[in-house]
Amino acid sequence: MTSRYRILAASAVVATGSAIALATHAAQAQAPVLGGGARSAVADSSCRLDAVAAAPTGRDSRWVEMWRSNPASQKPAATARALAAPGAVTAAEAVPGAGLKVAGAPAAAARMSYARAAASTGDDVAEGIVAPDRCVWLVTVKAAFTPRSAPYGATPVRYDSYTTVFDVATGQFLSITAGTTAPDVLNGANIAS
Amino acid sequence: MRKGFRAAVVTACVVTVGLVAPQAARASTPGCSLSSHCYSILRGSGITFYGMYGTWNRAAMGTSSSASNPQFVDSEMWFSPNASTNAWVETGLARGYFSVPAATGYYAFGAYQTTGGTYHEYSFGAVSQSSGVTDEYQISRGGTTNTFRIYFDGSYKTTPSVGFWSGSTLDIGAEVATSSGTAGTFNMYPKGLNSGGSHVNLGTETPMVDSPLYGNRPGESAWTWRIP
Repeated sequence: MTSRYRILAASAVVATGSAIALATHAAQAQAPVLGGGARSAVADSSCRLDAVAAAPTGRDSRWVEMWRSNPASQKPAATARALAAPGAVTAAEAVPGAGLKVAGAPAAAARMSYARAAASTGDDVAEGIVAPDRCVWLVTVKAAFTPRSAPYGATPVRYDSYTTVFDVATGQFLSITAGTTAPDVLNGANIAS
Repeated sequence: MRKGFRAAVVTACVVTVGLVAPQAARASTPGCSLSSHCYSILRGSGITFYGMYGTWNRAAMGTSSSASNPQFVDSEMWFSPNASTNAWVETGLARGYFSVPAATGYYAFGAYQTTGGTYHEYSFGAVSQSSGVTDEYQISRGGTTNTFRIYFDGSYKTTPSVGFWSGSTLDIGAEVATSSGTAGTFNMYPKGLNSGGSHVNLGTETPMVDSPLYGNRPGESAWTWRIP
């Protein structure tokens, strides 16, 4: 079995949602071909689908409430259906919005720890509410992207690719990055070790 | 294309009275869309700031966002080196399209665009909408040159270098990218941060409001917005 098909099989198992509590994923090889004939250049690393961020201590009560209500911060429900690689790519492809169809554009996903993804995107994992060893999908899509929000009067920048991060267990969106320092799952650029 | 030009014309009239008259009650926001954002903001300028601080309530916001028609309503603040530099740090609340069209939750978020052109947006986390809850936001210098800490209710995330460490343009208010947006009343209280980290008023305060949004400056360094 090639690494490609091994990963696809693993994703299918994850997608059933039946093994979330037990799933601890050791290092895996390349992610599957996912769009436009592209293949991820990034190997997966160990992480846990059900890793839970440490309960905030000494924090503002509003922050604690956010931690409690945030899906990616908590243990997935027993009935949760984890996001498989194709689903992660589909979600990432939907980012550019109406009128910008990207189906078939080169795209690839790599499953890794949130700590590694955060180090790659410039996020600060130490102050987040997602466990550093929580499994996330890092997904790169080679398609036009314009940032959702911008200040009044700013000139919108149009990027030719972008990379998103999704929580594997819940599918929750965590971040998006575009530009020269953005991580690229397709060629391995800017991805922390 | 955003509505900057049209709103600038409106602003010329607004500044003279410091108040935007409320329009007839409407439940929608015609003319606002993902490709043509509408704003109801108070801009502070004319002083060098080293960050900004703001508080506002978790008023209701609504959109009919879907995968085929992504839309959003934000209540937030932006910190920019000046009005002509295409770089900024922002934080606030988002309802609707939050980088994933199907997402319809109510999220606290942070984002920045560096002078080098990198854009990054992230979720602080899902929060429960409640008009009785007021959150605190702050964008202030990090420990390393050109980095900022983006605070939400006392906790923060630190940006990488964004290419600037001070700013003279502070915006606070609404960004609406939907023709069917709804929003309750947001009472926002912004302050700039001076070199000592103290809260100061926003300097020259200029309301900028796109129709059909409502915006009102009830006093110095205060802003109220809603969707009529």
